[in-house]
Amino acid sequence: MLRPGLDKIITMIEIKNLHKSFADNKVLDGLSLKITEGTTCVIIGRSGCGKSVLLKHIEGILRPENGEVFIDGKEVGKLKGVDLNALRMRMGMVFQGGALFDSLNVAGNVGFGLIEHKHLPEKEVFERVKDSLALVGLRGIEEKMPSELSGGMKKRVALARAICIKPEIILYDEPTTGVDPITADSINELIRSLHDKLKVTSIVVTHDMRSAYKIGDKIAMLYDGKIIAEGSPEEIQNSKNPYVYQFINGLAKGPITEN
Amino acid sequence: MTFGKSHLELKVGAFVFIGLLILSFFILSIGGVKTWSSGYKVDFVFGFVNGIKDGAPLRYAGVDVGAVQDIKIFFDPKESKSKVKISCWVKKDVKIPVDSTIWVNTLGLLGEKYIEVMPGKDYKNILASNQVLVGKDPMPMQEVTELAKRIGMNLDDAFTRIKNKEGTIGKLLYDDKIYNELDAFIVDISKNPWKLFIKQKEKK
Amino acid sequence: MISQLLIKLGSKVMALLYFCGGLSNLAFQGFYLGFTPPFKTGRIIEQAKKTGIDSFPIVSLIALFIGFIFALQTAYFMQRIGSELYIASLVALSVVRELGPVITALVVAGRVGAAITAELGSMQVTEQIDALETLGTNPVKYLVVPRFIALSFMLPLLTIYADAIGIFGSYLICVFKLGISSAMYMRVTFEALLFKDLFTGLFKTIFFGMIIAFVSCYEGFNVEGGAEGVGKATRHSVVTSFILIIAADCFFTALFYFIFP
Repeated sequence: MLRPGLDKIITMIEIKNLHKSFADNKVLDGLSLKITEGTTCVIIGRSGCGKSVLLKHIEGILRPENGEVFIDGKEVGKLKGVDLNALRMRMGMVFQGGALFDSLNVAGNVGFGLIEHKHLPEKEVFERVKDSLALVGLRGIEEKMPSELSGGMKKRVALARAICIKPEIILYDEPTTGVDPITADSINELIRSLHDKLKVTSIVVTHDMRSAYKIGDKIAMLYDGKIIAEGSPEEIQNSKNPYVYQFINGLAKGPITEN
Repeated sequence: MTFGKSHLELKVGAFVFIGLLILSFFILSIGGVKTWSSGYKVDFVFGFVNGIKDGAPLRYAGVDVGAVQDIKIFFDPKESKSKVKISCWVKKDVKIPVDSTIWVNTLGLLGEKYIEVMPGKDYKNILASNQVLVGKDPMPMQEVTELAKRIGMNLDDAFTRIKNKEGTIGKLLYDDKIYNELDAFIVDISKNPWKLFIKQKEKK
Repeated sequence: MISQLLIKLGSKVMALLYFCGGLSNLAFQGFYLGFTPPFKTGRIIEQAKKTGIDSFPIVSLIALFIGFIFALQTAYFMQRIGSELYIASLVALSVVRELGPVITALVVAGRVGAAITAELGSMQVTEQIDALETLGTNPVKYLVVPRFIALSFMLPLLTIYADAIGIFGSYLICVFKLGISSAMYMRVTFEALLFKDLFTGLFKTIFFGMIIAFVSCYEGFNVEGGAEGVGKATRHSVVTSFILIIAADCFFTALFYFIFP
């Protein structure tokens, strides 16, 4: 699983026995996962099985009821204020719908983290914004407002926003959902190439198997609040686990039922 | 290069400025607050002020020209008596001669109290800022009643004596003797007008 | 049957307590973050424009009408007792002490409060609030503080305008319809007003501004369930702001009446 350029296996993200429930609904129920530095881990699972909730725990937006999330040795749930923000600045998150700020133009969105936290001169910020946009293949849209962009462009801008702060970890929440297959594939390629260029640790949450095979170094399946299977794309593809088999082949019949 | 922000400072600034202008207009127009217009301060010392209040008007020759700003009680060791110092604000262009008469007056019997300044004649000596002038004490209501009672009693006495035909007025009003004599005299004269010219001889 | 009613009552009370707790928590955070650096004046000015200047036309229109109406309604009685002149003092006192502040606050709550809830609500629904957090920005500091500071500055300011325009409206009626001389009207107006009246009228609007800001932001942050949730939260925010503004007004009126007569 070692990628070129990294000579040691370092666990970047470690999740231990994570529990979370909303009202009476148990979403995460003893989830444990380790992610090595510099790898891409794809978490697959059905819609609403708690994948986004897991990402929000890693970002520290949600606090665990039980269990811990460690990032580079720091427990996220115990951090507060400045320390938490400092950790968050080492991570970038790409939201499902882009979550671009409607009131700011593209440049304002992409440069947001820099403007708010790094006291750089405006010119330098703009250079970084331009570079980030170029990395995701966009040019000359700095002054546009998010409402003027198409769905695929929004996702790219969101990606540019995530990488603009030069993070060590990028979290993707369903990056290919809601775009056409061609755009989806170009986003997959983009994730792959960013990963190679920036040497980041990535977590991708998706239920799009094509995307999972294409970008993942490791695939983990989340079901019923736990990781029920993990391994390389080939291992998952050849898994004997009936749950995994049903999911990756998209079968209506099997052990996974409605509810 | 802007990050989705436009220049609003001017608009907001103008809005705030005009609002504050209106506010200051309000504050300056409202009665009682005249500190900001130009004028000077004078102090008046009274022995008794009959319940004058902060903000009461000051009238110079019957015209409102200022207001009471501060009322303080102090002890005057020379006369060993508590006195009241009233600080007043007076418009700049009003000149009060030092020999002016100052007293606390009342609008109507129970009306608002104010400081009345009757201008004097000594215009060579004008009251300057922060100078002190001693005012005439108003009569306390009790003394006024007392006096009225005394006057009433005296009048009553006089009228009783007049009625009792005592004294000149009493005799004049109630004694018929003068009238009768005068009447007889006129009748006599109209009958014998020559009597006026001829010295009457004593009857032999 | 009875137990069900009790459960319903209990859940309502719990919801109310939850709301109060959440609102005071947000207010506390807003105050704390509002007075800790870094201070971003740009965003405050932006919100001042949105909440203050953009509300000016509707506030002044309503204040003008209130001036007309109040002059005519007082004239009805004052003419019967033959003291039309005192319309001026009555209007001045009511507008400066009560109508100006409350009408302005209600109009702004309806206009700005609803907009804030809808804006923050859709930001919540589209995960923009979470995105702020992932970019290391406190949503309360970024979204609530500028709105709360702008509203608590702009509401007194709008009230000054509303007072002036309301008195002007009544002036128009009195001078042109009731035949009171212009100079007389102004004299009676300013004779009736005391500094205290102006102060109490403006002082409470600072709190009305805070109520509008915190209630609408709180409702916006707690939107659940997409577009429908945004609509529900907006309605709830306006209703709650109205109730709290009137309640606070009652409180301040009583306070000034009994404590600083």
